[in-house]
Amino acid sequence: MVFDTLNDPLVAATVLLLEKSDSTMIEFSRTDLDGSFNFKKVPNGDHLIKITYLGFIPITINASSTDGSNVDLGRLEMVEIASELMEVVIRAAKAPMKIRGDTIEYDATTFKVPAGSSVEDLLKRLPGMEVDQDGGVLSEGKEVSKVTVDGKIFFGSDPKAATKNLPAEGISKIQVFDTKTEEDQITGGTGEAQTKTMNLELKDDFKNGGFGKVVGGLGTETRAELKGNYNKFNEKIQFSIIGVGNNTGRNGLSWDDYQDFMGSNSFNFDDGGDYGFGGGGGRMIKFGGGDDGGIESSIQSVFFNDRNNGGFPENYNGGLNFNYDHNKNKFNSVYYYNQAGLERETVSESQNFYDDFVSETKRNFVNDDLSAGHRGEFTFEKEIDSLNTIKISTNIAAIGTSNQSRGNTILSRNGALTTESRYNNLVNSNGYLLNGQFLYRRKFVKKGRQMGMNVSYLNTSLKDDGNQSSTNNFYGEGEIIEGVSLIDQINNSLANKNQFKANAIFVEPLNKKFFFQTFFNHSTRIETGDRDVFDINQEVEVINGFLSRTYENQIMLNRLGAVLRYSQKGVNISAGSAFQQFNLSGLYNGKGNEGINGIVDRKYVKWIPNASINVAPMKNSYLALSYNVDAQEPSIRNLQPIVDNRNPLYISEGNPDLVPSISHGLSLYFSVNKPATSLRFSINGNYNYNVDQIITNQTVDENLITYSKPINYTGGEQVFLYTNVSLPLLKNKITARIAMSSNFNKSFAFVNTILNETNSIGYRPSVRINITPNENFSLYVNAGFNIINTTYNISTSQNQQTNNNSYSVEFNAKTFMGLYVNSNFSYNQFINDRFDLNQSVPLLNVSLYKRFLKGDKAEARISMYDGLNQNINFSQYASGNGINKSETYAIGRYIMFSLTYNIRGMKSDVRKDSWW
Amino acid sequence: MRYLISLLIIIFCTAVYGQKRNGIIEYNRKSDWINIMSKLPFMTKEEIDRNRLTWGNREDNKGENYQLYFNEGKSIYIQKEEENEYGYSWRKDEYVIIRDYDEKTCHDQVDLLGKTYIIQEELPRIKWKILNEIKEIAGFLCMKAETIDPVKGTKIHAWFSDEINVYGGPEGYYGLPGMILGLVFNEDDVIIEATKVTFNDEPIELPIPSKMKGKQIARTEFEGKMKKFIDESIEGRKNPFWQIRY
Repeated sequence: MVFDTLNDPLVAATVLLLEKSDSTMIEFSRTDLDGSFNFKKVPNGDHLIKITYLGFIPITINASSTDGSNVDLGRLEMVEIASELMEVVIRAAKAPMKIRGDTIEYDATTFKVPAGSSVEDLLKRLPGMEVDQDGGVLSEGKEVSKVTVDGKIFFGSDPKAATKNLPAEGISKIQVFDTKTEEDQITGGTGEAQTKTMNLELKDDFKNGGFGKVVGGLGTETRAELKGNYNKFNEKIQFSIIGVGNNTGRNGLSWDDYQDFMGSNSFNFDDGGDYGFGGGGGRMIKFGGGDDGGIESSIQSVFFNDRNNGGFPENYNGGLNFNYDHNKNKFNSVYYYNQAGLERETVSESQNFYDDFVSETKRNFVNDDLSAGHRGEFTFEKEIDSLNTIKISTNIAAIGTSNQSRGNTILSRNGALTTESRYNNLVNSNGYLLNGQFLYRRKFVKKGRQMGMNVSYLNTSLKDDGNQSSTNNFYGEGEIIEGVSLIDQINNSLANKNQFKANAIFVEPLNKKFFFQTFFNHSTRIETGDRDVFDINQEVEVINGFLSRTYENQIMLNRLGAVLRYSQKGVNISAGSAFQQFNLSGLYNGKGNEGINGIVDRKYVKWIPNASINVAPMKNSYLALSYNVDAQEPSIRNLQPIVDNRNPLYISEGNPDLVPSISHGLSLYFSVNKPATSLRFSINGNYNYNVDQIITNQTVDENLITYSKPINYTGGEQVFLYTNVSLPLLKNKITARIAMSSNFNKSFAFVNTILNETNSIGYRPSVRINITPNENFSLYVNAGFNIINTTYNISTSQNQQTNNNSYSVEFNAKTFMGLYVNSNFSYNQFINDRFDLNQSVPLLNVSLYKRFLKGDKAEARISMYDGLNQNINFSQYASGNGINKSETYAIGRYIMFSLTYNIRGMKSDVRKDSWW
Repeated sequence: MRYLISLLIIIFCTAVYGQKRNGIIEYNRKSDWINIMSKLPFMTKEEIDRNRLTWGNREDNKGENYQLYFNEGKSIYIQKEEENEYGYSWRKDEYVIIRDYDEKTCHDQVDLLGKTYIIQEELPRIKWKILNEIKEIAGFLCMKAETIDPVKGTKIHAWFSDEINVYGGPEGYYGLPGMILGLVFNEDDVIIEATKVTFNDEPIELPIPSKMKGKQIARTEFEGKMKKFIDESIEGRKNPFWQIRY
């Protein structure tokens, strides 16, 4: 019978019958109108009865039935919670030590210990606490058998791990209480405990921590590298620093390093993008962008700019990142500096085919390039309320480059020498970029209705100071010099770009299945330039009227579009179109007496359709089909009716009659994935048809000087197919991936008034086998083939096939005495029968390493790069009416010894990560 | 303090112990991918921190909403039909959980690794331990109970309120002396919490689908398949929970 303190029976109180040993519930019941309850068929044993009633303190009593007879628990009384609450509410004054029941709580911040002390040092200062020689902790004479951090068990069961490793400065409170048995925890019992539990409460700003590593290496051939990063973070703030310097061409910056550096700023939505036909208000994750190290390159593209194209590089880069994320506010800032120097010597050979002759170009040149850039990006995002978000971002950059190129070019026609040119060019550039963007995103109370708006302004300026000198000899029959042209010029230019963009989108759900989306894009780009070219004649500078000019171009684009989308149960179909308008105007004024000038003022209007289907035809599959049209305006440079003879062997001229080129694209994607067997298959196909594509109309004279002019031409086509199967041959041990890609390209060019049609078909089958039999061994085998057949309609005898094949084997193993081996062998083959080319480049890299220090914090490694000393980078390609091969000298074999220290310790792993 | 106030409100407002035996409960189910990933045995501390730093501050996880329709003897738990917010619709997995507490049977339609299964059999007994903590969910004072996940071996905590006199709950959990309003899988991996409780005076009709297609399977066999997949994925260092429901 259950009663309250006023002696009234408690009706419908919950009564639980529990197993005493582990409080497993056996049965439950509720009290009757008179407060009584009973359980029938209770198994024999020790039980607990727990009674709960809202507003009352639950009670627990022993109830044992050992012989099957009825047990009468008698009269039970419950106490209301309200009176007890008052005691809880009373707050104790802040004292260094508090005693509550069996718990002693120390305020760690009031016990001073030297900086860098461990928790163990702190414990030694606490009253009632003793630390013995082995690091064992006693509290009031009882052993502390368990240590928790913020209530969570720390590093398994060894309490010393926490007290010895954790820094004292991170601790706010230390609580010590009796270690409770499972039974005590359930019953609230206070049996005499044999051991104590200690809980360490961390300071808020110490909830996480930091990590970092440093790698340094020294090698033969005066090679060296140094790389380090450090990262410190808590729940709100992330701060990181990274620095790299090397002359090996391997920055070695991986995706992991990128994420460690950028933290929550690694991947962002492309909110500022030009909204279009896509769904979801056009929110896609964007990454990187920008030209190769140029002024508009993003930090991401600079960070990963790690291409090794041979030559002798010397790179330094590094940066700082700071992120603050708290509640509805996000602030990200990042600064990055990069400096790249590269000295390269290249020998190249190319052939071009014409209706009645073949030209051959041999080049031998040295490039000495140096570039340095500072970049900063700052973003602030605020969620004003659940419906409104604003984001402000700015980018700034400043770069400086110096490019020197010297060498010679030899041209011959049907084997006879026609032109020989020696040149030496130097260009120094300096530039800056400013970019600001404001974005507003709004959702509405009506689900599915949303809008977005963004405006941005970009300003760049690039100043070039250059010197160009060349000696050009033109040969006649019998290789007799017929003419000599000496060029010695000073070339200074300033180019500015101002761009304003505004975009808006609005999505309205028409009903549960249909959505209407409308979008608007505006962009105005103003490019101005001022170029002065002086010819140096016997140390007198004379302005060159053909090349010196000022220009101002304005390109304005407006697009208004609408989409209707059906979206229901995994089926998404959309159809839409947009009205696109281009306004192009340009002003060109030559500076010389020749009075060269030109005006461009063109308007174009294009109607652009778009359609797409996205469905999941079966479980774990995805099918997407789309048709889209892309209109691209001609560049003003191509429109200006002005001759550019900057390169005396290649003279180009604009064409004011150009119209925008239109590309019709069809694409298909299908993928299916069988998770039970890890089988995956995907296929991807694209077809493009080009209308009014801008191609070149070339005329080549007897001295092999090329005159080029852009024209529109309809009929170019591209097909691209890619398919990929991933097969688990032996689950988690052997996986094969077979991929096949092929493409077809039909392109046109007019050469000496004859239309050249070039068709190329490429096949790229590849196989990769991953063998990971156990934790100590892994083997990755790759074979890839790239076969390109190129046919020419004019000189069919020049039809050719290029084969670029690559084979590679990577092997990782943990051997005796904790010694690891990593070996990477690749064999690249370049075959072209037309050139009698059969070149192979075998590359072997091997390293041996061993980890040491506690927790594998350090690593010593000895590596050999380019073990077979090939010291060459090779490439070949065929395009239009020509073929080309080139060789660049590379560093060659060297041996490097390196040491790594990682605060966190290194993962001793021979297997690569796969995220699937 | 807020907790104390709400506790007091509950104490004074729950004067009537009523007919709370019919109604609809809305639940929000939120998976914390960072926590799930952090507990996978092959992840290193460095990888965990990296993921947490990169993705941990994203607040776009709103979870999925579910509904539990219940009357005195039966309940059905299904995903809530919602207007799609982004103008794009994904294919959803089948997930229908029907419990008959009088007959002690279940009738579930669930997807596993691309296949739909029907589990129709007697309800197994869930072995609950009753713990001493209390907490308020959706205006109800709840007690804490614990059981062990039969597949993953991890702890599941349920918060139940004896104020709602139906012994059911979300995700097929049941058998406590009151409705389960909160479920927590493995500390913080997945949290399911009631957001709204609506009672009906009259017995309500449960929206049981007329057709439930799928391959018949015994629960033990279903759980065996799941366990095999989890073990194999972990061996191959993949997160199994990208592919199966946690």
